[in-house]
Amino acid sequence: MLENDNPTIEPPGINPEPPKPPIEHTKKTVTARKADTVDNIQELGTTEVPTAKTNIHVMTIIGQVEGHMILPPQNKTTKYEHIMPQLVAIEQNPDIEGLLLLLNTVGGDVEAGLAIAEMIASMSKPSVSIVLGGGHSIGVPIAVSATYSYIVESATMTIHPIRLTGLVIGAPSSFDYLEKMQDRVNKFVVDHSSVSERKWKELLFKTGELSRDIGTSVIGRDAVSYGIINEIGGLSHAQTKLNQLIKIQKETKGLKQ
Amino acid sequence: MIFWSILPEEYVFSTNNLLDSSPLYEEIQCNNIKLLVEKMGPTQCKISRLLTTNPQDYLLPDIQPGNILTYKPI
Repeated sequence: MLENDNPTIEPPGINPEPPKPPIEHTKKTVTARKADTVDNIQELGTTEVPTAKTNIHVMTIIGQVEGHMILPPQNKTTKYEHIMPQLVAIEQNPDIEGLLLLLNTVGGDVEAGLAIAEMIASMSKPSVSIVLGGGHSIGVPIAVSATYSYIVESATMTIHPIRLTGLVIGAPSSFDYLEKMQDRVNKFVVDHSSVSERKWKELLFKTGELSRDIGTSVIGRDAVSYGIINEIGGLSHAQTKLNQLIKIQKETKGLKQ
Repeated sequence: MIFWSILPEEYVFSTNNLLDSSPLYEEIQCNNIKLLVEKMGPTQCKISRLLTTNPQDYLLPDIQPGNILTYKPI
């Protein structure tokens, strides 16, 4: 510790010495305090660091959506148990006004993915999603669950039926069961985007588009023209839209009260 | 569980990698921010990912991914 870290003021009269120039004091204390803060963060994780406040929180969904089963370590995953409490916290925190969802996913657990999508869709705060790189399989329902969705021009979304590349573990693998699971996904996507059920099913069961499979790989602009995604755009578009939605929500709230 | 992905099943559920020494990950709380860290020994770990939704947290210089943290007794 520095000598003058915590200077005390002597009672007047006892010490006839004139006080040292105050500039030096302040400098020393500031540097000492700075070092303390950094040490505390690194060692104890205690000191609160003043950070810029933000009213928009961001959630990245990357790799596989992981739900009931822990996937082998070579997979990059987004875990259900991380996302769900974060969504609850965002909904509850009055300082947070909007959610930005960044998607780059290859698929994953259908039920975990649907759960995340339903949670986002049922939030009272506005949300905007951006599909970057790829939003495949279960990424599609998550992308459309946001209030407004964007896709960058280079991104693709693979729309394919569950049963063909889907792996069934510990569930009755009857055709009916898969059919019902597929129906739940279909219904969610059709309800939360402007794609018609006919078009969606056509994309789902199209042959000849994918080498391994039936299904369609939909690229940015096509996703918008089919009505799955609202608009082509990146970060600045999403940010502007989100601010707009927040403003609209504030105004409507004001009217109700 | 029904798994729906564009990645082939044999890739996602391959168990070959279990034989290799894949890094051991752990979730820790540092300065009220949840971090996913790679254990490097009994007292050290390397930050691999931040598990927070606050975008400003990602700018904090002390918890950038790749930084090495040392556990200290309180």
